[in-house]
Amino acid sequence: MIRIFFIAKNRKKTETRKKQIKDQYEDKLEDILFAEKDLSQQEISNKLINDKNPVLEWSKPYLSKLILTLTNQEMKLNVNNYRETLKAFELHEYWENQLKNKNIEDEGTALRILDDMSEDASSNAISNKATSQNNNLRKHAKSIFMKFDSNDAFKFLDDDFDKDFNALDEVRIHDALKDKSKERPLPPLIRWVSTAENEFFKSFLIQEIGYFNQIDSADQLVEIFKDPNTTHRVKAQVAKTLGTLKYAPAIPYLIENYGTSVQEVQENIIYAMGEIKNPETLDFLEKIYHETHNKETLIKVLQNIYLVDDSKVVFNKLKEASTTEFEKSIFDYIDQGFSVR
Amino acid sequence: MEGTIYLYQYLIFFYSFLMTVIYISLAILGYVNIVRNKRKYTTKEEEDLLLLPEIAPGISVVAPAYNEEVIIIENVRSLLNLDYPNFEIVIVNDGSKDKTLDLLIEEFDLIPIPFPYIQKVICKPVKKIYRSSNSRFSRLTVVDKVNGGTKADAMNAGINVAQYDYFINTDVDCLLARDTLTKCILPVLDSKIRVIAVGATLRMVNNCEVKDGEITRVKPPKAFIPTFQETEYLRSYLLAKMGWSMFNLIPNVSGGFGLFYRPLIIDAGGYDPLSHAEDMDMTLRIIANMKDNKKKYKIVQIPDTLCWTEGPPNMKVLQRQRSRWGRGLLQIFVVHRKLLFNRKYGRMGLWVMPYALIFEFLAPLIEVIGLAFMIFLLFTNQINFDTFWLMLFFVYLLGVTISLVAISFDILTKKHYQSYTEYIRLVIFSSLEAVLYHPLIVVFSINGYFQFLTRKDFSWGAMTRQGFKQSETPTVTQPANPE
Repeated sequence: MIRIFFIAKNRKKTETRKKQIKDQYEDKLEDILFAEKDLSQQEISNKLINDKNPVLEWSKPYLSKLILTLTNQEMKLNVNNYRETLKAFELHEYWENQLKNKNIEDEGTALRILDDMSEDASSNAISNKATSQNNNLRKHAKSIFMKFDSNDAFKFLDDDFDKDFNALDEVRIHDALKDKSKERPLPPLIRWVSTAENEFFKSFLIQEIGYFNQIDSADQLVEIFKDPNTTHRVKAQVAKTLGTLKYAPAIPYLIENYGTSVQEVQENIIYAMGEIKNPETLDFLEKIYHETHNKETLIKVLQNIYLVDDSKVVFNKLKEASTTEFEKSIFDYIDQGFSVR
Repeated sequence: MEGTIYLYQYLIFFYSFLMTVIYISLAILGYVNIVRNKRKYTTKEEEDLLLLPEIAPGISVVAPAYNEEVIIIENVRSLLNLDYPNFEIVIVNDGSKDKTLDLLIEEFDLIPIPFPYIQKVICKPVKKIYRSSNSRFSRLTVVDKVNGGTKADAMNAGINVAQYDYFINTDVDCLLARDTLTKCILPVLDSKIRVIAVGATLRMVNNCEVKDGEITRVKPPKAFIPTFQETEYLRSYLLAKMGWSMFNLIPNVSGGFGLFYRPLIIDAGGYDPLSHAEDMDMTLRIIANMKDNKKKYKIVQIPDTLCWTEGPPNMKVLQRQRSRWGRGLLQIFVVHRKLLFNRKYGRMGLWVMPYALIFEFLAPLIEVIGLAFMIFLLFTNQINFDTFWLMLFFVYLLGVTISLVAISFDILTKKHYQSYTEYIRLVIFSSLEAVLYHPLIVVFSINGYFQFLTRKDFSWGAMTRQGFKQSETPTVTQPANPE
């Protein structure tokens, strides 16, 4: 009961403080953040901070969250005023100091807030956390570092990013790469593919090569595909990325490898054929349609024939010749515009 | 005789002592796990996923329905409103005799499609598969099949139609929180080892206000039985399962709500239509499958309440529910006896299954024998009343404390009720549970064991639906479905 009482008391205190900050600053902040006119830090300070209302340390987390909530509104943000507001309240300094705390919860919150603020965070402060013993914190810091550093932003892509690399890191790195690509084109990610040893990390980078349309790396991807030491997972991803890049010179290698590949690779080769779209891929898809015994693969083959066959001559010929109810249902299903997701 | 009494008393003492130690340990582990979870996954991680649809994995939500005309529309609407970029809803109409299918067709503009159906796991024949002609409902697929008599059979049909690698197993009478899919998939992404299942907290929807399939106000149930069950669920999910989860020892991902890795479920042969506890049966089979194939796996429990389900409104429904659980538990030990005390199945064989046998399956029997034994001692004047009252008070206080800890964990995770006074209701009911509710559970569980041993026939659809309380018209509830 005492514990419940204390949790309730803490919650109440948090809510009261949140409301207090909101009442005190929300309207003023809205006026500044969405103003058409650019204001200086001094002008913003004059509006928000005075001797009667000094900015206390405890209020900074609430202020940060209030500002971030306001910036998420569907109104045109004045980026200059936003930056100057963060400076006026010394919010970056506050959160960078929080990063120096030895409390994992505070450090985690600081990283998230700095990430959300997106402006002028010190990559040095974040970089220090990239050696943390805490897996989550360390990996999060590495991905955020990529967003903020202007000197060697991609250094953590070396050495497989992290020994504990997983799919959540993929989301974070993808987010950082997307962010970074808005400033200027990304460096060729194939550079890190060749040094990576973790097949999951390798596959992820190859997927990103497709997403960021780094067509110049396609030749090297074909070489990786041809390498007999390449794992099934990586091979499957290479096939998919070559499809995404619509790299027609890869077709002979993909076709040559189809028969000897595992199902995962085969399905991605089928996908690639559908993306590349040329007469050669249509012939190949028609050929494997007759040889495929796996029902799921068969659906994918027909789906891709439908995509490649603009005139629908081959598709309709196969449809006419289909004998089983199952095959007929696939043709009708695709014909009616449904796709295999 | 005296020797037997002496031995029995010692056995019970050590049994209770061990149980106390286990509960306290689970409470500590549960707390650590909740704090760790809260630290790792925040709204920031959820928003990242929502903003990156190109990288968020797809999830199928499979919900079987049998005679659910009272709630079907509202519930499907609620499922369609889930906040996640890549998902599909698969509703399996298991040969309903009421208007479930007609209502779905009418409300969501459904038309039959020539779906290339592949039977990957066995189930009764599928008659038709429907999709909507309205793009607003493009995520919805409705499978109409011949009644299979069990939820397991309907789930198997849903798994055959589902298209994504991960699926959620839920019931049509359950309401899911809008952020369910992001919350569930985060621990899957955040693991180097394959996560084969994720469970979350379930609680009672009975007195909650619902608008357009979404809960607008969470309240503790008004009726007695669901209120007792609310605390019971909090104990089970936030304390026991969160505790076990620390060591990857969860033996059962609830049938009401759970996220599963579909290829593994297919490999394991799908849900068993003959099982009375298809959820635990499935969980144990996928664990055994991973262990047999010497693959590493993880089953994760998250503390967030993601699913609201209707609790038994009266004694009759409670009896049906608990007897079914009792039958299921006994069946589990018969079907999965090879796991028990088997070193090959690691901690599952050596710790969790023995725990479930001794402290879950045997508990009602030990309590009944204990009561009979106490009456015997009373009549033969062998009770030391000073010790008796002391022990009874200790056990009672321990039970109440464990419930209070679970309630505090719930508040720590998220304060669902609007005011703290609503939590007082749970606290009061916790203090009465040992006297008013627990004896019923013991009797109904033993009844379930008896039913299993006498091999009666059972089928699903035993729950009587009452519909949700609408926030616009809070005083009106829909009439019960005369099922």
